Amino acid sequence: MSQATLINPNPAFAQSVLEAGGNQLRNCFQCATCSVTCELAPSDHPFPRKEMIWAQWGLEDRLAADPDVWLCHQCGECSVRCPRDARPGEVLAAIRKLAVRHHSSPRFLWDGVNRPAFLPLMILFPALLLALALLLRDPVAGLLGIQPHVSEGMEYASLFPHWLLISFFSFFLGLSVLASAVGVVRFWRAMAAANPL
Amino acid sequence: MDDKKLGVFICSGCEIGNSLDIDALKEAAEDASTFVHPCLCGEEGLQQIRQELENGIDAIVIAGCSPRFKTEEFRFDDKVVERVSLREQVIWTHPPNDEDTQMMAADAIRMGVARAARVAVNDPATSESDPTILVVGGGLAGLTAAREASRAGHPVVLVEKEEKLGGRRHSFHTVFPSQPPFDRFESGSLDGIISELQASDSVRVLTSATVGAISGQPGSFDVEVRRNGDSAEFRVGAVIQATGWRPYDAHNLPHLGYGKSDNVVTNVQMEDLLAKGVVQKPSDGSTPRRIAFVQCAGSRDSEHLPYCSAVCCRVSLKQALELRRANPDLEVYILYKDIRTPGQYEDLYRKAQSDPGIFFTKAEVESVEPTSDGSLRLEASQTLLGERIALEADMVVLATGMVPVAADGEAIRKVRDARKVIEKGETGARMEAAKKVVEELGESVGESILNLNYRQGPDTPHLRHGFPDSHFICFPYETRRTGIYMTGCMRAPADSESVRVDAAGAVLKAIQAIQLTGEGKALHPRWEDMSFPNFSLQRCTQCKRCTEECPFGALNEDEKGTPKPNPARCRRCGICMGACPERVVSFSDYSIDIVSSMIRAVEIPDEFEEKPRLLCLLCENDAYPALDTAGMKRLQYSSYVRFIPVRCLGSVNTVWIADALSRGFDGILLLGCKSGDDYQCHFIRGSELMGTRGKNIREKLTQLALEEERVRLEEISITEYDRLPEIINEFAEQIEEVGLNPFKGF
Repeated sequence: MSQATLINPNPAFAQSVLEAGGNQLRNCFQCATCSVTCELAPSDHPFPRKEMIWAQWGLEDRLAADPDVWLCHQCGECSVRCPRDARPGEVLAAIRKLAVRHHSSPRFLWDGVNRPAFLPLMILFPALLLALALLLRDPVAGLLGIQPHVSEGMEYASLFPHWLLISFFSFFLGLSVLASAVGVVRFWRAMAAANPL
Repeated sequence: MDDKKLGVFICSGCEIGNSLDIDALKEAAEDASTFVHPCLCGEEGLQQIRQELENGIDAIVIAGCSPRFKTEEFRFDDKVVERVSLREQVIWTHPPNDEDTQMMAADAIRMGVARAARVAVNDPATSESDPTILVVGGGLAGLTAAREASRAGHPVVLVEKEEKLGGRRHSFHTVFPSQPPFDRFESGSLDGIISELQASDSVRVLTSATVGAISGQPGSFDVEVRRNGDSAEFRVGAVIQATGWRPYDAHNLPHLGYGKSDNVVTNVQMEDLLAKGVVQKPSDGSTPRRIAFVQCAGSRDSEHLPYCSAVCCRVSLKQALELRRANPDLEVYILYKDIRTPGQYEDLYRKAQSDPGIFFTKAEVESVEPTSDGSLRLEASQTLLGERIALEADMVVLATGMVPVAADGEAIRKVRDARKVIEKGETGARMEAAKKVVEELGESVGESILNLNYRQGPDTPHLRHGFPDSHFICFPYETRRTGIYMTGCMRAPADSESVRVDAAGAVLKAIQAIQLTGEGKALHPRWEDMSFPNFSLQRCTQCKRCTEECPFGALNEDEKGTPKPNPARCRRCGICMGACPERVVSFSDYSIDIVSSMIRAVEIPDEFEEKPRLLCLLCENDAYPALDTAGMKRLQYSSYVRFIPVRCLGSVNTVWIADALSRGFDGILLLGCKSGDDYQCHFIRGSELMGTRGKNIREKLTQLALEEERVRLEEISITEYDRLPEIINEFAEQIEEVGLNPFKGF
């Protein structure tokens, strides 16, 4: 007999699935009409029935490592057929959203992008960084021995010279590429661990 | 009976006139006056019948449609009316204007004439029927029954063994919602109905009391009630048993942790904890953070209770919601086999599901073990969460089912009889058998509740799982003891609302029993039948077959074993008549002689004509309607068969089979209802008994050097009309293969 897996229900995560769009999740009574309806569900481990109960119990780690939710096209057939109006399609969308959050690094950036309340902050934060770059432009140029741009009238480069442009944006581009890569690797590792070949 | 003036009315409507030679048919009536009418059920035809009855005809034979049609039209009170089915059994099921079809019709008329000549209309056995109803048990079912009965104008004696009325339900903290919008739990208290009954003049409430003995029969039961050492006598007309239920003993479920930890409780114990207010862990009084409910604990399990107790799912949903309301930080896990919330209660399920602190999964809980840190670890398989899972909880609630509080009269009697044999010190096989019975049943039969003075045992017999015998689907409330009805959770597990309806139904049955008994009429299923069995006891040999085989315990015995009939307990099935080797039993319209004369009335063609004759004795409850349906569907079958309806296959006396074979019938087909656990026999054991007698008959046939294939028993249900032609044709073919009866013409 296989070893029993200890289940720790997490009502907070279940609540976050509801808030992320799967607000009918609790209606599900596990009849599996959705899994039968789904054209894409693999026959050996069909979805979305199992994702529905994982979400009800708030099993975040399992959902974050579940590749099946990414097969879904969001065609909406399961939500139409669901006899209890639990809308599995919407729940899967919410799970995908939360899976991205789960693997995103740093986590606060996900919240910033996904929560409307953070929008002003998301505008303010880059603006402050830019202002800081402009403020530090001349001292840094002096330090590095870069000649200030000599302009013959109104030129953009005299405000934001090329060296600053390239170094500032390259740095943040690099950061975001790194964050994505870390997220993808974490996701892949979690999937590989949960689904040994 | 030859002085009876018979009139045979042949209807030539409904294609009968076109399909048969009616003039030739008249000859079959022999001495009786014959009349032909093209539409006998019309006003003109009926007028003709009435006219002839006035002119001095005593008994009439109506040859036309089946007796199951036009029943109102052909009802002539106080006159013998015999119906012969020419339409369904002859012309609709056989080729028209055919020699064999004509012979079949003629035989049908001969049998009808033979029967009409011998049947008599008896005066009903009216008696004084006491209107009082005895209700045993003062829980919700008993209280409701008492109230309904008293509202219907019947005096009630209510017997409760506890000090107070109310039973189990009265102690419940809350019960399911009964009022729209079905979202508020209601108090379990029954104070309202209890005080109403205590104030009522027509209800006599006896608490701390038990039933010492019940003797007599419906309409006149004599009840002895014991109370604090005294006893009182009452005369009642009918009895309602509402002794309720007890929870399944959770000590039988050690694998679910009961007894291993104080924190494992049953749903009934949880109800008590909820009634106290704040639920605390029984072990240390701390507040539980996680509570797991194990549904179907010992239910729907072949090793414990094989059935569903109908309420445990809803009880757990209710308790979970109440626990969560008292403590919003609590997590509740509900592990179920299936959530069963019929009707409006689906809303209760939805409500529990929408609670963020209640978690559901289907699961087979395998073990509940206390852990070192004082919590409990549950392991479950077959879950919807994917694999074998473990859960930790601070308390576990086992949703155990209901066990009926009922005694099995037949088992008690078996043990009593066996103990008598042992006391007498008999030897040999009887002693061995008696010892075995005591060993197997002795411990488990329990105490009798009704203490009936019935030869077949002091309580009603059980069918299965400890519930009193009844056919739940067709005949709710019926038991095998006439005038004694079961209600509430001892009849079938149910919730309060269903129990209330159930109790009202049982009261209606009891009132019907009192009323019909007073009028000398039979109860279900031959209700309003006014015939009753006569016992010519001077020929009785005290073989006890009738007292043993009566499915309704109608017959008591004196010391010698002579049957003592109780007509009001009798359902008129005639099983005693079928059982009796001395032909002691008869009804005014159904007897050994009547059926034998019908058998003898059939003309048997001699062996050179090569026309076999098959006798079909068929049960009038299911097989006969099926035969009519086959007729209406115009299904064709062999015209060698002759039908005689019987009240029950159990009423078939082997004498008839011997008669038929000696007359020259080539085969005998017995058609009855299904036997076994899911029996459909209206008299419970008829076809089963015929099965046993049939075996003896076949043995006799072999002794007479006759082929045992000549007698066949088939069980069919009312819906299997399409099987009938197959059965008849196949039997006819088989008899043709076996060959004609060698006794023909002797």
